[in-house]
Amino acid sequence: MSFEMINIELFYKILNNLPAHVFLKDAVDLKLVFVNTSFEKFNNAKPNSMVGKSDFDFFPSEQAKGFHDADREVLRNKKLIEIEEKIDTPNGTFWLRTKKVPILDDNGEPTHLLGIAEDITDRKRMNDILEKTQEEISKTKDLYESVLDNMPTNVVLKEGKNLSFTFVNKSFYQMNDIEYGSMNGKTDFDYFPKDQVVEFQKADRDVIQSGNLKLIPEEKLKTSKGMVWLRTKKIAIKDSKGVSSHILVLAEDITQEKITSDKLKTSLDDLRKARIDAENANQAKSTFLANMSHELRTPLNAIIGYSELLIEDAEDENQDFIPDLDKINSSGKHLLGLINDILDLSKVESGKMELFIEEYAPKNLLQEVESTIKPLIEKNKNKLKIELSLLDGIFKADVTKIRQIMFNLLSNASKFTENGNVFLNVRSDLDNIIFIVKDTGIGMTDEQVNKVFKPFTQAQEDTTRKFGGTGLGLTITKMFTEMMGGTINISSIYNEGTTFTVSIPKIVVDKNDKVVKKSNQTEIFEDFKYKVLVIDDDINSLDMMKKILSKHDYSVIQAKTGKDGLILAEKHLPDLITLDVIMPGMDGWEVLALLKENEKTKNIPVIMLTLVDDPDLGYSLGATDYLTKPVDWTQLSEILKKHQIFSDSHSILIVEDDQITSEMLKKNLEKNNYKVKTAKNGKQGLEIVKNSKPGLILLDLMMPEMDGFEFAEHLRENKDWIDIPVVVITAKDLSKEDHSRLKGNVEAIMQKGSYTKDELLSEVSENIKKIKVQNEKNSNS
Amino acid sequence: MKKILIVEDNEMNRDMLSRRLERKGFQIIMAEDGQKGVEMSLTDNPDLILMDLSLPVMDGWTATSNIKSDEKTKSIPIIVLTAHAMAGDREKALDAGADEYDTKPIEFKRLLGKINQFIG
Repeated sequence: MSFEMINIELFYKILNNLPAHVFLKDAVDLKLVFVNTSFEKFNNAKPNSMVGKSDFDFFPSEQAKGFHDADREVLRNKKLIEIEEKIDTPNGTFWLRTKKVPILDDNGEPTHLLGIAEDITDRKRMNDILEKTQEEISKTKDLYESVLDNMPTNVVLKEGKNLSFTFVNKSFYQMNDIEYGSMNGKTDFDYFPKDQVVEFQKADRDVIQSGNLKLIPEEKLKTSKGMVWLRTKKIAIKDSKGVSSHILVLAEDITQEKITSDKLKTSLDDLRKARIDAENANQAKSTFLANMSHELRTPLNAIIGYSELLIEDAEDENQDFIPDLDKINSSGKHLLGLINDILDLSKVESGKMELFIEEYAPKNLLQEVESTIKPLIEKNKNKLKIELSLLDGIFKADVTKIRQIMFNLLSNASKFTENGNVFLNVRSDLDNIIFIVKDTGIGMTDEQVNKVFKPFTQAQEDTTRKFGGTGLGLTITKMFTEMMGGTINISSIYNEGTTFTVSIPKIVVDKNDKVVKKSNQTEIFEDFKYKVLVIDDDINSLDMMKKILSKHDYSVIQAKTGKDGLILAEKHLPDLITLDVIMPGMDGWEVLALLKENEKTKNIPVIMLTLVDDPDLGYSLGATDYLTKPVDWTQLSEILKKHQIFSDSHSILIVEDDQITSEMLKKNLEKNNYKVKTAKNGKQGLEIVKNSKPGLILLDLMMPEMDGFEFAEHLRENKDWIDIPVVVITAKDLSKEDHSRLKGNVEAIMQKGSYTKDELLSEVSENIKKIKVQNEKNSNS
Repeated sequence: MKKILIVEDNEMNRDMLSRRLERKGFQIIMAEDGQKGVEMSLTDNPDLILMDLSLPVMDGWTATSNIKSDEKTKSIPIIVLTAHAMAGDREKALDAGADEYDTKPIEFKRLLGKINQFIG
């Protein structure tokens, strides 16, 4: 027992020093039987002052009641409970974790309640801070997610290893019509076609591996709502160690943009197609008109001719018929004029109207026009007064078109003038020749003036009926004037008369052809000199050439090197160039190639002067001439002579699909003892050349299967065939385009086509050759 | 009476031209292709030839140059007639050796003037 006594003291000490609040309550009235020092301090109570009192004495009654309820529960259930509770004391608010234990007697009935309360206020406070911080973090996270969620673009964050979705924003869910939030942890495979996912993931892994941003400007994604187009950026997200842990995908929906641009592209394509269609249609129209007008002219020819015949008959026999026959005749002529005008108009519109520039004497031109227009002038009892005051100089233009312009303006003037005067004044300033046609006729109102150049709109609706005409004359006049780089102006006073002023450059240059064509009319060139550029490194040679050429009325420009030659050629645009093959530095072939490359000089004929018999080079740029169908025998035989093709040693190949032409050529050649082979197209032609090389080829351009252009190209590809002279035979004058197609293949060494003084030229070149030989001999000896 | 050879394949044109010229007091002979034209220029000694250009068998250019290259016929004046009033046609016709050139449809007075220049 003493041990027990001693121990009770110790027990008290222990209890009082425990770092917890301890209290013991009576099981019946819950009054305190014992409290330790710690609990007394907690309650700010003096030692031993609490025993015998209840919780209501220390705590607010509400709280005290709560304590008692818990106490009674423990006593009733005879079980320990643990409560965390907030206690308000005079010292402040504390958190206690309290264990309440029933103390039972031998019968198992509770006698007391033991409470042990641990002060957890500090811990609790820490927890609170932690919780608050977490709350803040979560709020921030929510904010970020909400920002991402509401971004008007698709945002997807994938985990770096298995590419499962870490975050997918609302926009992406909506686009794919997937339940919001359901994609986390899943992968693309769960939602999209396999092929596509393989592609996505390949790109994802590329980005993760390289760490580089990847931009996919356009990619298709099949969603449950349909196909969408995305502009996608893939970005590697790196952790603190610099390892790509995630991939961020930003995908902008560009479907609308894509549709718009596709539509735009389609409509542009449509437009382009429509334009091509329109061009084709216009082309077809022109061809149709050209053909039709030819077909119309033949019967018209008969109508006009026979009505004239009948008029002559009627003059002798029955004059009653004359007025009616006159009507038939003039209607026929009117129709013919209409056809001619429409044809001209369609040619200009389709760009098929070409200029044929030649030199002319304005005085002669006026005389011609005067005599043509005279009957028309006299018909309305008008007088034509012509004045001519010209500056000196050379005049070059498309004379046929000037003639037509004059005729149109004069006939117009005369048509709308009666018993009056028609003045034609021709003068020139430094650059232009100016034609002024003035009448004293009915004149025009401003409104009429404004539409005078429009096709099919004559000044007044009833003008055609009253005055005749096609309504196209002035339109064509304007077009022709402008084609030649000129201008046309009109001034008119109603009831007083009209004045047209046409100004055309003195020297018209064809915009499509910088080298002005020479006329075949030799008389025009009496005091006009061809310009020849002589390129040769040998001074003796140069002098000799100059003497020879000057004697033949050429003006000569000399160049001692290829380089100078190129500069002078571009500057002077000579009519012809003679080019020495062997020169130091740049040789003749190089010079030739550069001349032919230059737009300005490529059409200038070049005579290569060479003593070297080098077939590979010699004819590498092909022969030679072209003949116009029907082929003229004299011309052909001259060409044969020129190329030294003799009947006993050379065969001639005719490549021509038209049997009549082919037969005729064959007959003519055979008559002159040539051996002749014929081919119906380029393909057959090449076969024949393969079997046996002909001495010369006569080549048609328009053929089925393989045309002449293609044939020439193939021919020039084979070195062995390069020296075969090719003479093009063509039904038409070669167009500029044809020329350029043949360039380097057919045309070149000597092109005589545009010269009338063929013989002279060939004589010159022959002379030149002789001189060169002489020189060579001299220098060798 | 001066003799004119008309080389023309179109029957109506031949008929018209011949009747109108006969009325003006010419004797007319006719050929309907170039080949026959060349032959008749040799056999019938015409004083002048009116030559169409687009002709069967042998065209007008060839016929013209054949006639002009034969010593026996080269002095016969040839007026070429063509429906293609294209610039360059005149030159081509003159190059082939023709002495004159006129366009179809024929303006009879003008043609008559040209004929009379040679054999009037």
